Amino acid sequence: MLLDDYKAAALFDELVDEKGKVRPYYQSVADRLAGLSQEELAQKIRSLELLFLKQGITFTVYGDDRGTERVFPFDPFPRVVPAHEWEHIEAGLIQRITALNLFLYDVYHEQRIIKDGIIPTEVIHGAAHYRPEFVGVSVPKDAYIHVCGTDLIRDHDGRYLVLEDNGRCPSGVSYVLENRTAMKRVFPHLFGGGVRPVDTYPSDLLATLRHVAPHENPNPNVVLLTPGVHNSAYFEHSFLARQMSIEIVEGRDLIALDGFVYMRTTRGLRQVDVIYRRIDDDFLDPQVFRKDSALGVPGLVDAVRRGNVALANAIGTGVADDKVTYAYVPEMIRYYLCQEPILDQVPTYLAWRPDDMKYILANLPNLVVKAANESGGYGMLIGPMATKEQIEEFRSKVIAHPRNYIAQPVVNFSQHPTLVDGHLEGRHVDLRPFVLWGDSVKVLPGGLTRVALKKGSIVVNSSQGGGSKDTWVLAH
Amino acid sequence: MKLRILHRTEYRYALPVRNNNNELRVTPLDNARQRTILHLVRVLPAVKMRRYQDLYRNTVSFFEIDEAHKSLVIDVSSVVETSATPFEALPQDALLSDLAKPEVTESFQPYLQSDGPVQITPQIWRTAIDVKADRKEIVAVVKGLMDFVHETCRYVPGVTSVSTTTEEFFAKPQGVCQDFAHLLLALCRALGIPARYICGYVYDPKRGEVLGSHASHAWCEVWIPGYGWVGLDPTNRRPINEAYVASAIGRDYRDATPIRGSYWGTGDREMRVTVHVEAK
Amino acid sequence: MEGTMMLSRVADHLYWMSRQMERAENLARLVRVSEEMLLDDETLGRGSAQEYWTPVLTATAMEASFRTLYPHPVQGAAARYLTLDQRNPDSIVSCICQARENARSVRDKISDEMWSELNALYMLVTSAEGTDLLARSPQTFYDKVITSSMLFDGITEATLTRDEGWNFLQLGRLLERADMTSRFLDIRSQAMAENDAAVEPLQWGAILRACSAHACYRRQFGGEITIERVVDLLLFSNEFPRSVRHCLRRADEILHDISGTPTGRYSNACEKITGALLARLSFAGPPEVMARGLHAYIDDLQKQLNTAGQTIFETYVLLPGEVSRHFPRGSRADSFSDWQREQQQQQQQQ
Repeated sequence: MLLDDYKAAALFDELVDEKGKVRPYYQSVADRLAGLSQEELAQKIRSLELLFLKQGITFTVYGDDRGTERVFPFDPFPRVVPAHEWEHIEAGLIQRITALNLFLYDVYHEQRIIKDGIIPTEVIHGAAHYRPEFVGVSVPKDAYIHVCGTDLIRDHDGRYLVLEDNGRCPSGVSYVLENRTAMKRVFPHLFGGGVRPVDTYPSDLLATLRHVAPHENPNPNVVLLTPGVHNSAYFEHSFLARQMSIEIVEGRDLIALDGFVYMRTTRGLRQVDVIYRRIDDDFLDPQVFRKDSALGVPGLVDAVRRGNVALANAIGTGVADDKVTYAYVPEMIRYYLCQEPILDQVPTYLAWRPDDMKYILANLPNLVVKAANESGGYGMLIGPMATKEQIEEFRSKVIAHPRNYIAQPVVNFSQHPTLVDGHLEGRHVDLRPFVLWGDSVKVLPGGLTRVALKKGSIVVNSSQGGGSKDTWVLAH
Repeated sequence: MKLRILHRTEYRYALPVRNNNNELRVTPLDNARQRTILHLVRVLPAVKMRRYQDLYRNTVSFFEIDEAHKSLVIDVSSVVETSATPFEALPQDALLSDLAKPEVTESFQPYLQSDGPVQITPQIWRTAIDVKADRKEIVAVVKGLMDFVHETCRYVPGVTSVSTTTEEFFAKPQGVCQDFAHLLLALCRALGIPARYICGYVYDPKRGEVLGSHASHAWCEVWIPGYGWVGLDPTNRRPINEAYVASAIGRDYRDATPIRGSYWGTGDREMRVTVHVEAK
Repeated sequence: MEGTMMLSRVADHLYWMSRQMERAENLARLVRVSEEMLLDDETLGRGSAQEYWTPVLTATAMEASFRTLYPHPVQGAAARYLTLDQRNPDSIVSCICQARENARSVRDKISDEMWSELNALYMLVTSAEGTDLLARSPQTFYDKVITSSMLFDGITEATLTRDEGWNFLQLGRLLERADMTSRFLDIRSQAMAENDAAVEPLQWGAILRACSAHACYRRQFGGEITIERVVDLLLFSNEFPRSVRHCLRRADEILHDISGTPTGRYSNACEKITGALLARLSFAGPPEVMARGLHAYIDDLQKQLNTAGQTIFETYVLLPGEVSRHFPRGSRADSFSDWQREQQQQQQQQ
């Protein structure tokens, strides 16, 4: 039987408790899965893979010339989140995005949190994605992060911890929706009812985008701005545009004239009101940011400043998901909301603080060191797994650029049974729920559970050998 | 029942104002009847928020904006899980005479007074005794008083103000939930029943059936020996059920005002309040 | 009005998607029939087998690049170059890759079924399985490409909304079909010019077969195959769906559908060009072609077809005043599109 020889490790296991007993909310799915024969299971996995490949649900791995397309590996054993845990996660995420949006408003207006001495000026000014030129510029509905993907992990007690906030262009939600579709098609019998649906996301996202339309336009033209087909998340861009029935545009499809943005159609120009952009700030407008951008729209930023077009997410949100700023999010929650954080986060040492620096340098082999402004698992040192040379390389990097590095103790991600060669083995997982900040705040009841497919690895990024699972949030 | 409440207050000032101090009593109470899952007060411009508990154990959020500004938005969002005790389950045999004890009159003194907007005039006192007739059970009496208020008064917005007293309202019984609540308080207190003012929200599933659901709502609670506080909504003539979320308690409106503030400035002020209560 | 509005770039992608699919299909038809002929003729030696491919390469404008990449071609090199060689931007595989890239860019504008078909074909021809199949049974391979393209056409017909996107998609297919049919004729015309009986590449009958025109020919003209009749059918027939005239007439109707102008009049440059071309084909016939010389006539025709394609691009894709600006598209990756690709990949992954 599939579950019989499954062994939980010393750390937190999603499926079984410390006594090796299947957790009650997993019982039904575990029983149903165990009812499948090896052949049935293998056959179903083949049809899953075929389904993904046929639909072109792929991501691109960089490095070679053309960019190889790969199917994002998918594990059919769903991750189950019981209702009471989700209630906690949801409340915590809403609290967090509220604080982050207030912080962004504050940073780009009065900067009270700096004046009150809660966050040092250097932290803000040292953030690579801080845009001082946007201080004093108002954005529609004072919304900065409209879409947030927050990465959560669980420590050995099963406590959910925020690992990072992705408040620029978080991706992965299309896998959440496609994983569910595929699971329903190939494993319909696993669903015993009570799994909360995720398919309202596109309409919720559209409502979120329409909410920020300039000049209260009741019928705004909303578009999705993609870098193009060669971007690794292009599938997602196209998927979302299609689900929302909006145009997917590239920079060359847009033109800014006299402070307004238009798209080029076969019948001439048509005004654009809201842009769900999936390209970085740096590439948005060659007149303002990178001069060599081949993806942007000259004059776009001017139109944004004049309030004639809204960007989601707004420009400059990167100052909030900077890894140094991250250390201050609990303080933001206390400051703006006068509350204690509902979700804990990983203790963080900031290399620019002399005491922290000392600690970091003394404990490099036991710490995870991250570059403050990188994402996707790049620019990272995992002390216990690193070679001597790698540790020394990071030591000199940290000393040279203290503002650019933070360090955290190694948190043992929880593990989840995952199919490896026809049997179950524990693999590390994280969870990325998606939060929409519109007229009301909505948390998609589900999320992307990423799995580190390599044994023992805690790197779950798709670009570095991660896979994904369907995430079931239970209604009761 | 899980209810989500969105309570938004927007101020626009024609000319910049400063030293804007505000006190909010908008945090759902945590008690046996309701459990707060989420509660956030978001103020724009972004401010440092502070909190304390007042005499009635209400959570008071307060903040000040010293610099000049032309708009203020206060967004309150809460998710609360509620339950309710049906009227029939209440101790029907608790008697009015049980209340005439010094330990009751002393500990509930603030909720028995004639004060501020709750004026127990001779006329109101007379009416309370008439409505009571020869009933002796508290539950039956307060139900009778609630029915009386609901039958006598008409729900007409815009006639009364926040400072209207029960005397004025009783003379011309047209007003809103706050006036209904004040009058029921006066009637109960006239008979020695401890009664307090509750400010909160009510969910209207069919939209348009429940009075007071489009803004913050007000109702009363009376104290029943051997049981505790019991909620009654005279505006809608029904006991409090799981559609109600209480956010502040007090003797009367003055203690439980949801948002109260002051600022320096001249010029016009425009205020817009929206309240949405929805089942989750 | 709102419903019919379409991004210019999307129109361009749809046009090229179907155009490249059609090109892949026609190349497959051409190579399939050539290989068949080659098998039939056992007397051909190794050297002459190479010569045999020359007119095919010339007619498809691939000869020069072939000679550069294969200065000393071995047996099968030409067929391989036309079919699987990704260094050849116009090989069957390259066309399919480009068609898919275009489809990927407008994934939200085409049906799932269209995507599945095209993606499945892409996966076949780029896989080891595809290479094996080509080695084992070239006929099966080419049949697969042809059937898949026709299936794609049929799926499009059955699943795609008849809006502007559909029109641009049809335009691409029709213009490419007209172009390729004329190239098929050109292969024979070159052989005629060389007048070398030893190297007798595609017979007229084979050309008819490559165009799926055999049955139609027999029905119209009976058994005997003559050059004038083949020219009549492939260039001037109003009924045969792969004839140049038929394709142009349909293209002209579609252009008028896009602009809303009644047929017979024109409101822009592309309608003017197709209209003029159509008029020429309507008032001419095989005698004029033979008098002018087949190759010269076809050469001229192809130039005008090119102009028609370019004018569509300038009218609907570029904005006035931007005609001189170069937009990277299709196969010929230039440095700008490489640069762009690099930046597309540089976006921070969150």
